[in-house]
Amino acid sequence: MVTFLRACLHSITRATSWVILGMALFIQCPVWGQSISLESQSYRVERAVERSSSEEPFAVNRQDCLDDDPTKIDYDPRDAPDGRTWIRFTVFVSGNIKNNSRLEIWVSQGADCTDRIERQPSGRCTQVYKNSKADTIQRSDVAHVYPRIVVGDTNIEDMDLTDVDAYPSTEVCDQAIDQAYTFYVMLFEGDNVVSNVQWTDTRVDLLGPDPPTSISTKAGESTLYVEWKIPSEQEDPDTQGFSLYCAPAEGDGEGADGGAGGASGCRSALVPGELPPDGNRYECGTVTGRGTRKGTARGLENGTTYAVAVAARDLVKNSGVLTETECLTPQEVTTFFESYRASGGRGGGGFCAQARHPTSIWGVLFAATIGVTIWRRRIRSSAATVSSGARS
Amino acid sequence: MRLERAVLFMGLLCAPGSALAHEIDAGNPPRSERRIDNIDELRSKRYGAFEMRIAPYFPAIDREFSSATPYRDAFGKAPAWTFGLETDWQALRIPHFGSIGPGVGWHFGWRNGTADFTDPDTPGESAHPQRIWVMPMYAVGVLRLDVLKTDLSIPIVPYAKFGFAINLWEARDAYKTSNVDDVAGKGLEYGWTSHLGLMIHLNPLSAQQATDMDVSIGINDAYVFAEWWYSDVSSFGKGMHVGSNTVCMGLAFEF
Repeated sequence: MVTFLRACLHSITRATSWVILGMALFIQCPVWGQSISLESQSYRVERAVERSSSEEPFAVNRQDCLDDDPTKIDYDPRDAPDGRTWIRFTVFVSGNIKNNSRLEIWVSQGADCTDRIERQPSGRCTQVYKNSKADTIQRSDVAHVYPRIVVGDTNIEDMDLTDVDAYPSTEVCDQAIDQAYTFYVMLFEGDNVVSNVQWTDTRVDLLGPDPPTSISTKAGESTLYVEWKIPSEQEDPDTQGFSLYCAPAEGDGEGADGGAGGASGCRSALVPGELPPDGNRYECGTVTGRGTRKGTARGLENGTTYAVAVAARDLVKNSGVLTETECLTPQEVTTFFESYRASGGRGGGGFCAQARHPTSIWGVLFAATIGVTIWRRRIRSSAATVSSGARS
Repeated sequence: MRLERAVLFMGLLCAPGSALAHEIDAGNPPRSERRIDNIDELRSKRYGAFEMRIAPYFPAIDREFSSATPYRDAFGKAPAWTFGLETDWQALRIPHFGSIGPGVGWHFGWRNGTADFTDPDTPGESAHPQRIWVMPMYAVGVLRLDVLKTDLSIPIVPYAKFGFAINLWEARDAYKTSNVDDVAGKGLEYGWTSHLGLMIHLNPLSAQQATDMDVSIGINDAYVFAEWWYSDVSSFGKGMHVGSNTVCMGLAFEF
């Protein structure tokens, strides 16, 4: 019996040893036990002017496309805060990176880019990033994707990124694109995709809403007051607000001197029915709300005639095409307070400006305090008289 | 025991027999009742008054100048309508006379206008918006003579208030505070304020509802009032004259 028990115990011990050895080898040797894989860490669009969380900061808009300027330094919060806009992917690579490993990012509007056929020239996927140097692939790797490459529909492999002239021009940003894209970050070994992560529903929206149908303007001091109309049946549901654009009237031709009363049709950089030129360069005011019908253009020079136009703006801050322009000239005004001070008025200076005449205010407060104190003492003394009378 | 017998006797005379039988059968003791001869006995004690006020406000800004009229030129002759609240503590109640006590009030109103072009020959119409708002606040002593109402049943309560006033004001143009030579167009002025008015007692119009209001939410009396309101608020001549000479109306409640 004892012998039998010993034999059993020996067998159990040996089996356990093999299990432990096997587990140790599994853990120690990644080549045997763990394949290479990608994990997504973060995605963000790095741009000079941040968008708030309500303005879909992860979506690429027309301005992002325009700001992907190959002549600029890549965006960096410290060294190039006004730099080139890009999309930054961060992925974590676990497992062994082989000599024939490479990291690529492909994009499509619905095709499965892990399918080799879709990555062919006739396929529906576009290659937007490639790092074929296995020794430069990091455990925590960062990949930059440029918006114009995404919307330009040209494989990055076929491009010379050092040739600025060959880079997609700003015209690619004028396309009527409002689509959800899927980005495929893929790790290749040879021709095989060994791991991939996807960012789905990444919105690329280059299309602004329809403009108001008519505008009217009035002048103020360094400001223009603009009102517009949109028939309810023509209201674009994509509209989230409006941008006002002001461009100085050009030359001495017809309509260049709009006057403070306004005139339509002077020559300027703003062309009715077209997108605002140079992105936000001529933007002179914004208002939020689809139902808003008036706004103020600020920061203008008195005596300079401006062409003014309005464009609707969507959730991702794309401006649509411009309305007809109206030309007028901000003029100096005399406000009530200017008139008051010019007449010799002594008021003003702020709510805490009592230092101008401290004696008076402190005198009044002192007198009020004394008055209240005397009044309270009289009440107390009369109350004491009543209570003592009641006791007696 | 005597009261119970009386109630029982009255019940036998007046109440339907079945109802009385039911009450006795249920074993409930008859309720004791006290005769109330005067409805005023139900009234709660008065502590103070609360007013909701509306007044056309004519800031006396142009009084600072002998001939210039910058306020009238900018905003015209129409008033700035102000809305306000006031609460008084009737600290001392003198029988057959009235009440005396302190009170504080707050008003707010504004007037909009359009600033004209400096060059009168400029074609077109300016749209440059401008506004002045005034926030009169005051601490006053309040005397309300309610002897007519209480002793003679004449529903009129004359009153007078006098005290210290502070008015905040701001001049704005193009939706921001006006500024001239680094002097901001806003300020705080102080002075004095006086009010003389008449309140008309509303309770007699519906005595039952007035009693219900007192029992449910503690409001003893309701009034409409109109008063002459004169205030001199100019930091004693060293600031903008933002007092007014006007009439104020509203609703008042004593609680």
